[in-house]
Amino acid sequence: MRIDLDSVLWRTRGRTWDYGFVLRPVHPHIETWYDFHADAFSGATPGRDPVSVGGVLLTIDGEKVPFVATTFQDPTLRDAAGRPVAHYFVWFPTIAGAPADLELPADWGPQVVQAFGDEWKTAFSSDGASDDDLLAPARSMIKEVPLSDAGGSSIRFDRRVVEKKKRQAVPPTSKTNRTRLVTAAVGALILALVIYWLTHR
Amino acid sequence: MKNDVPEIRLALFGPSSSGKTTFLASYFGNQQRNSFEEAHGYRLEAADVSDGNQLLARYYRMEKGEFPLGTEQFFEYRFGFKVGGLPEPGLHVVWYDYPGGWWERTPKDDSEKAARRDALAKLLTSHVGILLVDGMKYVSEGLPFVRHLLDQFRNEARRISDEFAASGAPLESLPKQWIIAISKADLLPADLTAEKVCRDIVSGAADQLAGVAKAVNSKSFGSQYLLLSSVRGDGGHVIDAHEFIGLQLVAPVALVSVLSELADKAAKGSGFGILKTILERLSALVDLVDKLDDFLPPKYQVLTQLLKALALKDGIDKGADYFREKQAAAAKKGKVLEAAAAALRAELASTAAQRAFFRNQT
Repeated sequence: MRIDLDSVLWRTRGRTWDYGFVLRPVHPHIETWYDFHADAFSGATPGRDPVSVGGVLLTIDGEKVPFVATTFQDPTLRDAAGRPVAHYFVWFPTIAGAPADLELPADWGPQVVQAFGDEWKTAFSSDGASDDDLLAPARSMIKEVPLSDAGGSSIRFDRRVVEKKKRQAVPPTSKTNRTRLVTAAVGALILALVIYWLTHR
Repeated sequence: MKNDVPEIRLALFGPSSSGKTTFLASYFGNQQRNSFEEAHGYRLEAADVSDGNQLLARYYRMEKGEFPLGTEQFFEYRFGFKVGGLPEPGLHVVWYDYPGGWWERTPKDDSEKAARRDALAKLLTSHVGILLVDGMKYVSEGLPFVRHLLDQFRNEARRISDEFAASGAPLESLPKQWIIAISKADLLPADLTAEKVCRDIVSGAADQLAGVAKAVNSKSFGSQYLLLSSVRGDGGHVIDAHEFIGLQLVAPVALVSVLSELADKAAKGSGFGILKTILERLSALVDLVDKLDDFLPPKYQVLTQLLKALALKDGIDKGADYFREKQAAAAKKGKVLEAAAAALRAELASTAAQRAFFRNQT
């Protein structure tokens, strides 16, 4: 089995930069990956051994996209404060039909980390500044990760995650709402006075 | 009834890996232990059981010698401050935890940007902001580290304010009360007090303090110092998760901070010095306490009852034992608020508190 990296969501942290997405999928395309991530990993705590969950993403367009997710602590890396580093992976496999589960090696996440080799180590030690997702350039070279078959386990697609609508970048505050209402009311009053003055002149 | 319980909202500020998550796990973990309750006569209880379990999982990890993983989502933790065998909490303490990186950098993902914005807006509702200064770096690198941290904090506060203003919803108010907390205080020399740290920083980083004060619009920024230690560690590992400094002082010190601001506002003198001196000075405020709501901004009015219950004039020269007795007596009579206030006064009267907190005259 091969993991197509265009369908992988990867969140982790560096030695000095905090948790963020280092890879976001090309497909499926949604705009609320952080919300999806929070729901997909709800209740899953990264430990030394990978923890995997599976589910289906229900997109706003009505599409049902199966996914498998895994989280674990990096076996060697520590952040600047000496704390373990967690990885969170989600893969959206292209599979025919609507199977109830998928057989995957328990360490499929660590295998993806390994495939990024020095690219990942460089990103980890960097200052994290980048206009693009940090590992997007490496993905375009690696493209896919062939998985070794050892230690396979079945992951059921039993979690349902509904795509959240994109929130407004600026939620209107009560103050801005009030300001808008007052402006509109004053505008309407002035307009009414002008009309009255014009019609009764 | 639940709405009548006063609550104090506290927010930790500091870069990634400055110890926010470790602090919260230790804060809850240690203050809900039976041995803590035996010694202090109260305990903390998480309002949400799953939040409590999550913090406990991190605390148990620290008991095994490991620091908890960094936080990667925003959490609001609400703790009930329960005295003796009373069924109702006398006070709620609300804390916010969030990825430190959100303070340093704008995320690329739109939904994470929105989550960050919501989180920062919540932080602003805090009564008191606590800026963490890494004590280990303070000892090893000295004032250049503090100056750098303060400059960085000033720049980030400005950048976030500008970002909000540019988006059409400017920040309405940052916390007015700030405490500079020297974390990892277990690694500080034993004779180092909050007063010495204050003198050092105030004289050696005056320009940087003034810069932050302007950026966060708080004239008193840089006047209050607290020594804190979440665990005893060696920098990379936890040696003893049960050894802490100052955790139990945070909530009462925050209240004293609010009262000191009130004194300044009312021009009735000001509380400064070590805690004992501050309380002596603030006792002059008693005649004003009944009119607290006239002086306190709306955000602080949820604390009025508790501030009144602190009974400033009572037991000025008494030690912690005097207030523990009052705490037990109030608990016996079922007086929840009075019992909580006496418990807070007991913490403030302890000898440890005299070393760990100092307020400079502004």
